[in-house]
Amino acid sequence: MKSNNMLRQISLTLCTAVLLVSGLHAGDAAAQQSKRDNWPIIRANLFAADREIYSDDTISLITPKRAENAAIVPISVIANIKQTTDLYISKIYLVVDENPSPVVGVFNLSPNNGLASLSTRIRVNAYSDIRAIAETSDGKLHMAVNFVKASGGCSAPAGSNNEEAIKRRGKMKLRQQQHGNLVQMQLLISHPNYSGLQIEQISRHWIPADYVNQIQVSFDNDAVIAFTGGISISENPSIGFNFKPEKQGTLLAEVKDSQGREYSQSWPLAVQ
Amino acid sequence: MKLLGLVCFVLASISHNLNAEDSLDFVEVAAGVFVFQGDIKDIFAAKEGMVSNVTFVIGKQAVAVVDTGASYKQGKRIRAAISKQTQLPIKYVINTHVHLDHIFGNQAFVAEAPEFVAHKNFQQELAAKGAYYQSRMKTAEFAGSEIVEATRLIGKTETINLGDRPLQLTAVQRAHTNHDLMVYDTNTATLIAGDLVFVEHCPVIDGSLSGWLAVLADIQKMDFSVLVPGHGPVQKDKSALTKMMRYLSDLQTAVRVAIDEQIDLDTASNTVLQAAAPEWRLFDEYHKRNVIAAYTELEWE
Repeated sequence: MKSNNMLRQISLTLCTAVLLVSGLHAGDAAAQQSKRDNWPIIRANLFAADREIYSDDTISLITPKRAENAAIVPISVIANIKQTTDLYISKIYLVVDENPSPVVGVFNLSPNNGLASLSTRIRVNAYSDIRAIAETSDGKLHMAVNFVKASGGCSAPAGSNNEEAIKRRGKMKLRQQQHGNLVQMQLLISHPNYSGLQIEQISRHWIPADYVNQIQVSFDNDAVIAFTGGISISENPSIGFNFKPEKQGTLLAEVKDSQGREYSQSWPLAVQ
Repeated sequence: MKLLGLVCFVLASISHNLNAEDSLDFVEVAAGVFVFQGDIKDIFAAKEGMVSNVTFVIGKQAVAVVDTGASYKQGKRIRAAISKQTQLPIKYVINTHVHLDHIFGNQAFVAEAPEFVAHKNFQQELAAKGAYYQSRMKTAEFAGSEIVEATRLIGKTETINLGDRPLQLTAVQRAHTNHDLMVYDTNTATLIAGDLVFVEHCPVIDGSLSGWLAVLADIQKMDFSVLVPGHGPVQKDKSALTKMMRYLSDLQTAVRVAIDEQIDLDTASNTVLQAAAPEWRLFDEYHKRNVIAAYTELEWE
Protein backbone atom coordinates (compact mmCIF):
# COMPACT_ATOMS: atom_id res chain seq x y z
CA MET A 1 0.00 0.00 0.00
CA LYS A 2 2.82 2.27 0.86
CA SER A 3 4.25 1.89 -2.60
CA ASN A 4 0.89 2.75 -4.18
CA ASN A 5 0.70 5.98 -2.23
CA MET A 6 4.22 6.72 -3.19
CA LEU A 7 3.48 6.21 -6.87
CA ARG A 8 0.50 8.51 -6.65
CA GLN A 9 2.46 11.19 -4.89
CA ILE A 10 5.16 11.19 -7.54
CA SER A 11 2.55 11.24 -10.27
CA LEU A 12 0.98 14.37 -8.84
CA THR A 13 4.30 16.11 -8.39
CA LEU A 14 5.25 15.50 -11.96
CA CYS A 15 1.90 16.00 -13.65
CA THR A 16 2.30 19.76 -13.68
CA ALA A 17 5.81 19.57 -15.03
CA VAL A 18 4.77 17.26 -17.83
CA LEU A 19 1.77 19.36 -18.76
CA LEU A 20 4.08 22.31 -19.22
CA VAL A 21 6.53 20.33 -21.27
CA SER A 22 3.86 18.78 -23.46
CA GLY A 23 3.29 22.08 -25.24
CA LEU A 24 6.72 21.80 -26.79
CA HIS A 25 6.28 18.56 -28.65
CA ALA A 26 8.35 15.99 -30.26
CA GLY A 27 11.11 18.28 -31.48
CA ASP A 28 14.48 18.98 -30.02
CA ALA A 29 13.08 21.24 -27.37
CA ALA A 30 11.34 18.32 -25.71
CA ALA A 31 14.47 16.23 -26.09
CA GLN A 32 16.50 18.94 -24.38
CA GLN A 33 13.96 19.25 -21.63
CA SER A 34 13.86 15.56 -20.98
CA LYS A 35 17.40 15.06 -19.82
CA ARG A 36 17.20 17.28 -16.81
CA ASP A 37 14.30 17.95 -14.63
CA ASN A 38 12.47 14.98 -13.26
CA TRP A 39 14.97 12.43 -12.09
CA PRO A 40 16.06 14.23 -8.89
CA ILE A 41 12.39 14.44 -7.80
CA ILE A 42 11.73 10.81 -8.65
CA ARG A 43 14.92 9.67 -6.96
CA ALA A 44 14.09 11.59 -3.80
CA ASN A 45 10.70 9.90 -3.65
CA LEU A 46 12.00 6.40 -4.29
CA PHE A 47 15.24 6.24 -2.32
CA ALA A 48 16.74 7.84 0.76
CA ALA A 49 19.16 10.61 -0.18
CA ASP A 50 22.14 8.88 1.41
CA ARG A 51 21.73 5.70 -0.63
CA GLU A 52 24.28 5.58 -3.39
CA ILE A 53 23.16 4.41 -6.83
CA TYR A 54 25.93 2.63 -8.70
CA SER A 55 26.20 2.80 -12.47
CA ASP A 56 27.88 -0.58 -12.74
CA ASP A 57 27.35 -3.73 -14.82
CA THR A 58 24.91 -5.50 -12.52
CA ILE A 59 22.13 -4.94 -15.04
CA SER A 60 21.85 -3.63 -18.57
CA LEU A 61 18.82 -2.21 -20.28
CA ILE A 62 17.69 -2.90 -23.83
CA THR A 63 15.32 -0.41 -25.42
CA PRO A 64 14.64 0.52 -29.04
CA LYS A 65 16.46 3.72 -30.06
CA ARG A 66 13.23 5.09 -31.39
CA ALA A 67 9.88 3.85 -30.18
CA GLU A 68 7.94 2.87 -33.30
CA ASN A 69 4.70 2.91 -31.39
CA ALA A 70 4.89 5.00 -28.23
CA ALA A 71 2.01 3.07 -26.67
CA ILE A 72 3.92 -0.23 -26.96
CA VAL A 73 7.64 0.15 -26.30
CA PRO A 74 9.34 -3.18 -25.59
CA ILE A 75 12.04 -3.00 -22.91
CA SER A 76 14.26 -5.67 -21.41
CA VAL A 77 16.38 -5.63 -18.29
CA ILE A 78 19.31 -8.03 -18.52
CA ALA A 79 20.75 -9.30 -15.26
CA ASN A 80 24.50 -9.77 -15.53
CA ILE A 81 24.74 -11.63 -12.21
CA LYS A 82 23.10 -14.96 -11.36
CA GLN A 83 20.51 -15.24 -8.61
CA THR A 84 22.20 -17.10 -5.77
CA THR A 85 21.09 -17.27 -2.15
CA ASP A 86 24.26 -15.35 -1.25
CA LEU A 87 23.61 -12.47 -3.59
CA TYR A 88 20.61 -11.84 -5.79
CA ILE A 89 18.60 -9.05 -7.31
CA SER A 90 15.59 -8.60 -5.05
CA LYS A 91 13.89 -5.67 -6.78
CA ILE A 92 13.91 -3.95 -10.12
CA TYR A 93 12.38 -0.49 -10.44
CA LEU A 94 11.46 0.80 -13.88
CA VAL A 95 11.24 4.56 -14.39
CA VAL A 96 10.34 6.71 -17.41
CA ASP A 97 11.41 10.20 -16.36
CA GLU A 98 9.00 12.12 -18.59
CA ASN A 99 5.85 10.07 -18.09
CA PRO A 100 2.95 11.58 -16.13
CA SER A 101 3.39 8.64 -13.78
CA PRO A 102 7.13 8.07 -14.07
CA VAL A 103 7.46 4.97 -11.92
CA VAL A 104 6.36 2.20 -14.27
CA GLY A 105 6.50 -0.26 -11.41
CA VAL A 106 8.54 -2.40 -9.11
CA PHE A 107 9.29 -6.08 -9.64
CA ASN A 108 10.11 -8.34 -6.71
CA LEU A 109 12.44 -11.22 -7.49
CA SER A 110 14.14 -14.02 -5.61
CA PRO A 111 16.80 -16.73 -6.01
CA ASN A 112 13.98 -18.85 -7.50
CA ASN A 113 14.34 -16.93 -10.73
CA GLY A 114 17.83 -18.23 -11.46
CA LEU A 115 18.32 -15.07 -13.47
CA ALA A 116 16.59 -11.77 -12.75
CA SER A 117 16.34 -10.67 -16.40
CA LEU A 118 12.87 -9.48 -17.31
CA SER A 119 10.99 -7.76 -20.10
CA THR A 120 7.78 -5.81 -20.51
CA ARG A 121 6.07 -3.27 -22.79
CA ILE A 122 5.55 0.27 -21.67
CA ARG A 123 4.08 3.59 -22.72
CA VAL A 124 6.56 6.39 -23.26
CA ASN A 125 5.04 9.84 -23.30
CA ALA A 126 7.93 11.93 -24.58
CA TYR A 127 11.59 11.81 -25.44
CA SER A 128 12.74 10.40 -22.17
CA ASP A 129 15.38 8.66 -20.16
CA ILE A 130 14.27 5.20 -19.19
CA ARG A 131 15.88 3.74 -16.08
CA ALA A 132 16.10 0.34 -14.51
CA ILE A 133 17.33 0.31 -10.93
CA ALA A 134 18.16 -3.04 -9.38
CA GLU A 135 18.34 -3.54 -5.65
CA THR A 136 20.57 -6.43 -4.68
CA SER A 137 20.10 -8.50 -1.52
CA ASP A 138 23.03 -6.66 0.09
CA GLY A 139 20.96 -3.49 -0.10
CA LYS A 140 22.91 -1.82 -2.90
CA LEU A 141 21.31 -0.02 -5.83
CA HIS A 142 22.52 -0.40 -9.42
CA MET A 143 21.18 1.60 -12.34
CA ALA A 144 21.14 1.36 -16.14
CA VAL A 145 19.78 4.25 -18.23
CA ASN A 146 18.78 4.55 -21.89
CA PHE A 147 17.35 7.48 -23.79
CA VAL A 148 14.33 6.71 -25.98
CA LYS A 149 12.76 8.88 -28.64
CA ALA A 150 8.99 8.61 -28.53
CA SER A 151 6.02 10.79 -27.87
CA GLY A 152 2.37 10.51 -27.03
CA GLY A 153 2.35 7.03 -25.46
CA CYS A 154 0.27 7.79 -22.42
CA SER A 155 -2.37 9.90 -24.07
CA ALA A 156 -2.06 8.29 -27.50
CA PRO A 157 -5.48 6.89 -28.16
CA ALA A 158 -5.89 3.28 -27.25
CA GLY A 159 -5.44 0.88 -30.12
CA SER A 160 -8.31 -0.13 -32.31
CA ASN A 161 -8.40 -3.61 -30.83
CA ASN A 162 -9.52 -2.12 -27.58
CA GLU A 163 -12.98 -3.69 -27.73
CA GLU A 164 -11.22 -7.02 -27.94
CA ALA A 165 -9.11 -6.16 -24.90
CA ILE A 166 -12.27 -5.38 -22.93
CA LYS A 167 -14.06 -8.52 -24.07
CA ARG A 168 -11.08 -10.61 -23.08
CA ARG A 169 -10.32 -8.67 -19.89
CA GLY A 170 -8.54 -10.86 -17.36
CA LYS A 171 -7.78 -13.64 -19.79
CA MET A 172 -4.15 -14.73 -19.56
CA LYS A 173 -1.62 -16.61 -21.61
CA LEU A 174 1.64 -18.11 -20.46
CA ARG A 175 4.44 -18.98 -22.84
CA GLN A 176 7.25 -21.21 -21.66
CA GLN A 177 10.59 -21.95 -23.21
CA GLN A 178 13.34 -23.98 -21.58
CA HIS A 179 16.94 -22.75 -21.72
CA GLY A 180 19.23 -25.14 -19.87
CA ASN A 181 17.98 -25.29 -16.29
CA LEU A 182 15.97 -22.10 -16.67
CA VAL A 183 12.46 -21.71 -18.00
CA GLN A 184 11.91 -18.42 -19.78
CA MET A 185 8.31 -17.29 -19.39
CA GLN A 186 6.07 -14.65 -20.82
CA LEU A 187 2.82 -13.83 -19.05
CA LEU A 188 0.24 -11.97 -21.15
CA ILE A 189 -2.78 -10.42 -19.49
CA SER A 190 -5.64 -9.10 -21.58
CA HIS A 191 -6.61 -5.75 -20.11
CA PRO A 192 -7.24 -2.33 -21.73
CA ASN A 193 -4.98 -0.78 -19.06
CA TYR A 194 -6.56 2.64 -19.33
CA SER A 195 -4.09 5.25 -18.18
CA GLY A 196 -6.66 7.82 -17.10
CA LEU A 197 -5.18 10.14 -19.72
CA GLN A 198 -7.24 8.88 -22.65
CA ILE A 199 -10.51 10.45 -23.74
CA GLU A 200 -13.63 8.30 -23.83
CA GLN A 201 -14.58 8.13 -27.44
CA ILE A 202 -18.30 8.84 -27.22
CA SER A 203 -18.83 11.01 -24.14
CA ARG A 204 -15.44 12.71 -24.52
CA HIS A 205 -14.88 12.47 -20.82
CA TRP A 206 -11.53 11.33 -19.58
CA ILE A 207 -11.58 7.58 -19.18
CA PRO A 208 -10.98 6.85 -15.51
CA ALA A 209 -7.77 4.99 -14.91
CA ASP A 210 -8.37 1.25 -14.95
CA TYR A 211 -5.16 -0.69 -15.03
CA VAL A 212 -3.45 -3.77 -13.73
CA ASN A 213 -1.64 -2.69 -10.56
CA GLN A 214 -0.62 -5.99 -9.06
CA ILE A 215 0.65 -9.25 -10.48
CA GLN A 216 1.85 -12.15 -8.41
CA VAL A 217 3.25 -15.30 -9.89
CA SER A 218 3.91 -18.27 -7.64
CA PHE A 219 4.94 -21.89 -8.05
CA ASP A 220 3.35 -24.27 -5.55
CA ASN A 221 3.10 -21.33 -3.09
CA ASP A 222 6.67 -20.14 -3.65
CA ALA A 223 6.92 -16.57 -4.95
CA VAL A 224 8.35 -16.37 -8.47
CA ILE A 225 7.85 -12.75 -9.43
CA ALA A 226 5.60 -9.95 -8.23
CA PHE A 227 4.83 -6.65 -9.86
CA THR A 228 3.29 -3.51 -8.38
CA GLY A 229 2.80 -0.70 -10.81
CA GLY A 230 0.99 2.11 -12.48
CA ILE A 231 -0.40 3.35 -15.75
CA SER A 232 2.76 3.22 -17.82
CA ILE A 233 2.42 -0.45 -18.68
CA SER A 234 0.97 -0.94 -22.19
CA GLU A 235 -2.49 -2.27 -22.96
CA ASN A 236 -2.58 -6.06 -22.55
CA PRO A 237 0.33 -6.18 -20.09
CA SER A 238 3.15 -8.56 -20.93
CA ILE A 239 5.83 -9.63 -18.48
CA GLY A 240 8.78 -11.82 -19.36
CA PHE A 241 10.82 -13.46 -16.58
CA ASN A 242 12.85 -16.54 -15.68
CA PHE A 243 12.23 -19.38 -13.31
CA LYS A 244 14.52 -22.15 -12.16
CA PRO A 245 12.30 -25.08 -11.23
CA GLU A 246 13.48 -27.78 -8.85
CA LYS A 247 10.47 -30.04 -9.47
CA GLN A 248 7.25 -30.40 -11.43
CA GLY A 249 4.40 -28.26 -10.19
CA THR A 250 1.80 -25.62 -10.93
CA LEU A 251 2.41 -22.02 -11.76
CA LEU A 252 -0.27 -19.59 -10.57
CA ALA A 253 -0.74 -16.00 -11.74
CA GLU A 254 -2.92 -13.70 -9.63
CA VAL A 255 -3.75 -10.29 -11.02
CA LYS A 256 -5.54 -7.29 -9.51
CA ASP A 257 -6.56 -4.10 -11.26
CA SER A 258 -7.15 -0.59 -9.97
CA GLN A 259 -10.93 -1.14 -10.06
CA GLY A 260 -10.57 -3.99 -7.60
CA ARG A 261 -11.16 -6.82 -10.08
CA GLU A 262 -9.20 -9.99 -9.46
CA TYR A 263 -8.19 -12.62 -11.96
CA SER A 264 -6.20 -15.79 -11.67
CA GLN A 265 -5.09 -18.59 -13.89
CA SER A 266 -2.74 -21.55 -13.47
CA TRP A 267 -0.63 -23.75 -15.69
CA PRO A 268 1.37 -26.92 -15.19
CA LEU A 269 5.04 -26.20 -15.54
CA ALA A 270 6.48 -27.84 -18.63
CA VAL A 271 9.90 -29.09 -17.63
CA GLN A 272 11.70 -31.78 -19.57
CA MET B 1 26.10 37.93 -58.53
CA LYS B 2 24.99 38.13 -54.93
CA LEU B 3 22.45 40.81 -55.82
CA LEU B 4 21.08 38.68 -58.65
CA GLY B 5 20.76 35.77 -56.23
CA LEU B 6 18.81 37.98 -53.83
CA VAL B 7 16.49 39.20 -56.58
CA CYS B 8 15.85 35.61 -57.68
CA PHE B 9 15.16 34.66 -54.10
CA VAL B 10 12.68 37.51 -53.67
CA LEU B 11 10.93 36.63 -56.94
CA ALA B 12 10.81 33.00 -55.97
CA SER B 13 9.30 33.96 -52.62
CA ILE B 14 6.65 36.10 -54.30
CA SER B 15 5.68 33.37 -56.74
CA HIS B 16 5.62 30.90 -53.85
CA ASN B 17 3.21 33.14 -51.98
CA LEU B 18 1.00 33.47 -55.03
CA ASN B 19 0.96 29.70 -55.33
CA ALA B 20 -0.17 29.47 -51.76
CA GLU B 21 -3.61 30.67 -52.87
CA ASP B 22 -3.44 28.67 -56.05
CA SER B 23 -5.21 25.41 -56.77
CA LEU B 24 -3.75 21.93 -56.71
CA ASP B 25 -3.05 19.90 -59.82
CA PHE B 26 -5.79 17.34 -60.23
CA VAL B 27 -5.85 14.75 -63.02
CA GLU B 28 -9.12 13.45 -64.49
CA VAL B 29 -8.69 9.70 -64.05
CA ALA B 30 -12.18 8.79 -65.30
CA ALA B 31 -14.99 10.96 -66.70
CA GLY B 32 -15.78 13.46 -63.94
CA VAL B 33 -13.38 11.90 -61.41
CA PHE B 34 -10.42 14.09 -60.50
CA VAL B 35 -7.47 13.00 -58.36
CA PHE B 36 -4.66 14.89 -56.68
CA GLN B 37 -1.79 12.57 -55.79
CA GLY B 38 0.02 13.38 -52.57
CA ASP B 39 3.76 13.05 -52.06
CA ILE B 40 4.94 9.71 -50.79
CA LYS B 41 6.57 11.22 -47.72
CA ASP B 42 6.14 11.54 -44.00
CA ILE B 43 3.45 14.14 -43.31
CA PHE B 44 5.82 16.47 -41.47
CA ALA B 45 8.43 16.20 -44.24
CA ALA B 46 6.05 17.24 -47.03
CA LYS B 47 4.89 20.73 -47.91
CA GLU B 48 1.76 21.51 -45.90
CA GLY B 49 1.50 17.83 -45.13
CA MET B 50 0.22 17.03 -48.62
CA VAL B 51 0.91 13.31 -48.56
CA SER B 52 -2.49 11.76 -49.14
CA ASN B 53 -4.58 11.49 -52.30
CA VAL B 54 -7.65 13.67 -52.73
CA THR B 55 -10.52 12.94 -55.12
CA PHE B 56 -13.57 14.86 -56.28
CA VAL B 57 -16.44 13.57 -58.35
CA ILE B 58 -18.76 15.82 -60.36
CA GLY B 59 -22.37 14.81 -60.98
CA LYS B 60 -25.16 16.63 -62.81
CA GLN B 61 -26.25 18.53 -59.72
CA ALA B 62 -23.51 18.35 -57.15
CA VAL B 63 -19.93 17.54 -56.27
CA ALA B 64 -18.49 15.15 -53.70
CA VAL B 65 -14.99 15.49 -52.29
CA VAL B 66 -13.32 12.37 -50.92
CA ASP B 67 -10.69 13.32 -48.32
CA THR B 68 -9.42 16.84 -47.90
CA GLY B 69 -5.71 16.58 -47.21
CA ALA B 70 -3.79 17.59 -44.13
CA SER B 71 -4.44 21.29 -43.67
CA TYR B 72 -6.85 24.15 -44.06
CA LYS B 73 -4.49 25.60 -46.66
CA GLN B 74 -4.59 22.42 -48.69
CA GLY B 75 -8.37 22.37 -48.34
CA LYS B 76 -8.59 25.86 -49.85
CA ARG B 77 -6.44 24.77 -52.77
CA ILE B 78 -8.69 21.78 -53.33
CA ARG B 79 -11.68 24.13 -53.31
CA ALA B 80 -9.95 26.35 -55.87
CA ALA B 81 -9.24 23.34 -58.12
CA ILE B 82 -12.90 22.30 -57.99
CA SER B 83 -14.00 25.82 -58.95
CA LYS B 84 -11.90 25.54 -62.08
CA GLN B 85 -13.93 22.51 -63.19
CA THR B 86 -17.46 23.32 -62.09
CA GLN B 87 -19.70 25.82 -60.37
CA LEU B 88 -21.96 23.09 -58.98
CA PRO B 89 -22.26 23.05 -55.19
CA ILE B 90 -20.21 20.72 -53.03
CA LYS B 91 -22.88 18.67 -51.35
CA TYR B 92 -20.73 15.99 -49.75
CA VAL B 93 -17.33 15.90 -48.09
CA ILE B 94 -16.48 12.26 -47.46
CA ASN B 95 -13.69 11.30 -45.07
CA THR B 96 -12.39 7.78 -45.68
CA HIS B 97 -10.96 7.70 -42.13
CA VAL B 98 -9.73 9.99 -39.40
CA HIS B 99 -5.95 10.09 -39.98
CA LEU B 100 -4.64 13.62 -39.95
CA ASP B 101 -3.39 13.62 -43.53
CA HIS B 102 -6.95 12.99 -44.77
CA ILE B 103 -9.23 15.26 -42.75
CA PHE B 104 -7.71 18.59 -41.88
CA GLY B 105 -8.69 20.33 -45.11
CA ASN B 106 -12.37 19.89 -44.06
CA GLN B 107 -12.45 23.38 -42.59
CA ALA B 108 -12.15 24.91 -46.08
CA PHE B 109 -15.61 23.50 -46.95
CA VAL B 110 -17.51 24.27 -43.75
CA ALA B 111 -18.88 27.59 -45.03
CA GLU B 112 -20.82 25.85 -47.85
CA ALA B 113 -22.42 23.48 -45.35
CA PRO B 114 -22.01 20.15 -47.16
CA GLU B 115 -22.79 16.88 -45.45
CA PHE B 116 -19.62 15.55 -43.83
CA VAL B 117 -19.87 11.81 -44.39
CA ALA B 118 -17.89 9.10 -42.58
CA HIS B 119 -17.92 5.58 -41.11
CA LYS B 120 -20.08 5.08 -38.01
CA ASN B 121 -16.96 4.81 -35.80
CA PHE B 122 -15.46 8.01 -37.19
CA GLN B 123 -16.77 10.35 -34.50
CA GLN B 124 -15.37 8.22 -31.70
CA GLU B 125 -11.97 8.14 -33.31
CA LEU B 126 -12.08 11.85 -34.04
CA ALA B 127 -12.82 12.51 -30.38
CA ALA B 128 -9.99 10.26 -29.33
CA LYS B 129 -7.37 11.48 -31.78
CA GLY B 130 -8.31 14.94 -33.06
CA ALA B 131 -6.82 16.98 -30.25
CA TYR B 132 -3.68 14.88 -30.25
CA TYR B 133 -3.25 15.49 -33.97
CA GLN B 134 -3.76 19.21 -33.55
CA SER B 135 -1.14 19.28 -30.84
CA ARG B 136 1.34 17.99 -33.39
CA MET B 137 0.35 20.55 -36.05
CA LYS B 138 1.66 23.72 -34.51
CA THR B 139 3.47 25.19 -37.51
CA ALA B 140 2.03 27.95 -39.72
CA GLU B 141 1.47 25.46 -42.55
CA PHE B 142 -1.31 23.88 -40.53
CA ALA B 143 -2.88 27.12 -39.29
CA GLY B 144 -6.68 27.12 -39.32
CA SER B 145 -6.95 23.34 -39.55
CA GLU B 146 -9.92 22.82 -37.26
CA ILE B 147 -11.63 19.61 -36.23
CA VAL B 148 -14.84 19.19 -38.23
CA GLU B 149 -17.50 16.76 -37.02
CA ALA B 150 -19.08 14.26 -39.36
CA THR B 151 -22.78 15.02 -39.94
CA ARG B 152 -23.76 11.76 -41.60
CA LEU B 153 -22.50 8.40 -40.45
CA ILE B 154 -22.54 5.24 -42.55
CA GLY B 155 -23.28 1.99 -40.72
CA LYS B 156 -22.85 -0.43 -43.57
CA THR B 157 -23.66 0.69 -47.11
CA GLU B 158 -25.51 3.69 -48.47
CA THR B 159 -25.80 5.36 -51.84
CA ILE B 160 -25.67 9.10 -52.33
CA ASN B 161 -26.49 10.73 -55.64
CA LEU B 162 -24.77 13.69 -57.25
CA GLY B 163 -27.35 13.84 -60.09
CA ASP B 164 -27.25 10.84 -62.45
CA ARG B 165 -24.20 9.86 -60.53
CA PRO B 166 -24.72 7.39 -57.68
CA LEU B 167 -21.83 6.86 -55.28
CA GLN B 168 -21.90 3.71 -53.17
CA LEU B 169 -20.42 4.19 -49.74
CA THR B 170 -19.28 1.09 -47.86
CA ALA B 171 -18.22 1.03 -44.22
CA VAL B 172 -15.96 -1.98 -43.76
CA GLN B 173 -14.88 -4.04 -40.75
CA ARG B 174 -11.67 -3.21 -38.89
CA ALA B 175 -8.91 -3.04 -41.48
CA HIS B 176 -6.44 -0.17 -42.03
CA THR B 177 -8.27 1.50 -39.12
CA ASN B 178 -11.48 0.57 -37.29
CA HIS B 179 -13.51 3.01 -39.39
CA ASP B 180 -12.58 2.80 -43.08
CA LEU B 181 -15.12 3.99 -45.61
CA MET B 182 -14.73 3.36 -49.34
CA VAL B 183 -16.49 5.01 -52.25
CA TYR B 184 -17.50 3.41 -55.53
CA ASP B 185 -18.53 5.52 -58.51
CA THR B 186 -20.91 3.31 -60.46
CA ASN B 187 -20.84 5.36 -63.67
CA THR B 188 -17.12 4.88 -64.27
CA ALA B 189 -16.48 1.79 -62.11
CA THR B 190 -13.97 3.79 -60.07
CA LEU B 191 -13.15 2.60 -56.56
CA ILE B 192 -11.88 5.32 -54.24
CA ALA B 193 -10.39 3.11 -51.59
CA GLY B 194 -8.84 5.58 -49.15
CA ASP B 195 -6.08 3.97 -47.13
CA LEU B 196 -7.57 0.52 -47.60
CA VAL B 197 -5.18 0.50 -50.55
CA PHE B 198 -1.59 1.75 -50.49
CA VAL B 199 0.49 1.84 -53.69
CA GLU B 200 4.29 2.22 -53.45
CA HIS B 201 3.89 3.70 -49.93
CA CYS B 202 4.41 1.04 -47.26
CA PRO B 203 0.98 0.06 -45.88
CA VAL B 204 0.31 1.16 -42.28
CA ILE B 205 -1.67 -1.00 -39.85
CA ASP B 206 -3.75 0.95 -37.35
CA GLY B 207 -6.69 -1.44 -37.17
CA SER B 208 -6.45 -5.16 -37.71
CA LEU B 209 -4.13 -7.08 -39.99
CA SER B 210 -6.46 -10.06 -40.30
CA GLY B 211 -9.48 -7.82 -40.83
CA TRP B 212 -7.65 -5.84 -43.49
CA LEU B 213 -6.72 -8.98 -45.41
CA ALA B 214 -10.37 -10.02 -45.39
CA VAL B 215 -11.47 -6.61 -46.71
CA LEU B 216 -8.80 -6.67 -49.41
CA ALA B 217 -9.98 -10.10 -50.52
CA ASP B 218 -13.44 -8.55 -50.99
CA ILE B 219 -11.98 -5.60 -52.89
CA GLN B 220 -10.08 -7.96 -55.16
CA LYS B 221 -13.37 -9.57 -56.19
CA MET B 222 -14.88 -6.20 -57.07
CA ASP B 223 -15.32 -5.15 -60.64
CA PHE B 224 -13.56 -1.83 -61.00
CA SER B 225 -11.66 -0.28 -63.87
CA VAL B 226 -9.98 2.52 -61.93
CA LEU B 227 -8.59 2.23 -58.40
CA VAL B 228 -7.72 5.36 -56.43
CA PRO B 229 -5.52 4.41 -53.46
CA GLY B 230 -5.09 6.59 -50.36
CA HIS B 231 -1.41 6.95 -51.16
CA GLY B 232 0.45 6.43 -54.43
CA PRO B 233 -0.53 6.49 -58.10
CA VAL B 234 -3.97 5.64 -59.49
CA GLN B 235 -4.26 2.08 -60.84
CA LYS B 236 -6.03 0.60 -63.84
CA ASP B 237 -5.55 -3.03 -62.84
CA LYS B 238 -5.20 -5.18 -59.74
CA SER B 239 -1.45 -5.78 -59.72
CA ALA B 240 -0.67 -3.18 -57.06
CA LEU B 241 -3.52 -4.54 -54.94
CA THR B 242 -2.10 -8.04 -55.24
CA LYS B 243 1.35 -6.80 -54.26
CA MET B 244 -0.01 -5.10 -51.18
CA MET B 245 -1.96 -8.20 -50.16
CA ARG B 246 1.21 -10.23 -50.51
CA TYR B 247 3.05 -7.91 -48.12
CA LEU B 248 0.30 -8.10 -45.51
CA SER B 249 -0.13 -11.82 -45.83
CA ASP B 250 3.64 -12.44 -45.70
CA LEU B 251 3.70 -10.24 -42.61
CA GLN B 252 0.92 -12.27 -41.02
CA THR B 253 2.74 -15.53 -41.73
CA ALA B 254 6.13 -14.26 -40.55
CA VAL B 255 4.75 -12.74 -37.35
CA ARG B 256 2.88 -15.95 -36.52
CA VAL B 257 6.16 -17.83 -36.92
CA ALA B 258 7.96 -15.31 -34.69
CA ILE B 259 5.28 -15.71 -32.01
CA ASP B 260 5.45 -19.51 -32.24
CA GLU B 261 9.22 -19.42 -31.97
CA GLN B 262 8.92 -17.06 -28.99
CA ILE B 263 10.99 -14.38 -30.63
CA ASP B 264 10.42 -11.31 -28.48
CA LEU B 265 8.57 -8.26 -29.76
CA ASP B 266 11.61 -6.00 -30.03
CA THR B 267 13.67 -8.56 -31.91
CA ALA B 268 10.71 -9.39 -34.13
CA SER B 269 10.17 -5.72 -35.00
CA ASN B 270 13.79 -5.49 -36.14
CA THR B 271 14.01 -8.74 -38.07
CA VAL B 272 10.64 -9.90 -39.41
CA LEU B 273 10.16 -9.54 -43.19
CA GLN B 274 13.00 -7.08 -43.70
CA ALA B 275 13.39 -8.65 -47.14
CA ALA B 276 10.34 -6.67 -48.27
CA ALA B 277 12.21 -3.37 -47.76
CA PRO B 278 13.14 -2.73 -51.43
CA GLU B 279 9.50 -3.07 -52.48
CA TRP B 280 8.13 -0.14 -50.47
CA ARG B 281 8.85 3.49 -49.91
CA LEU B 282 8.83 4.66 -46.27
CA PHE B 283 9.44 1.04 -45.26
CA ASP B 284 11.83 2.06 -42.47
CA GLU B 285 9.27 4.50 -41.12
CA TYR B 286 6.32 2.08 -40.96
CA HIS B 287 7.31 -1.55 -41.22
CA LYS B 288 8.56 -2.04 -37.65
CA ARG B 289 5.40 -0.45 -36.39
CA ASN B 290 3.40 -2.87 -38.53
CA VAL B 291 5.26 -5.80 -37.01
CA ILE B 292 4.41 -4.54 -33.52
CA ALA B 293 0.74 -4.08 -34.47
CA ALA B 294 0.59 -7.51 -36.07
CA TYR B 295 2.40 -9.19 -33.19
CA THR B 296 0.19 -7.71 -30.46
CA GLU B 297 -2.90 -8.67 -32.47
CA LEU B 298 -1.86 -12.19 -33.45
CA GLU B 299 -0.43 -13.25 -30.08
CA TRP B 300 -4.04 -13.44 -28.86
CA GLU B 301 -5.18 -15.81 -31.66
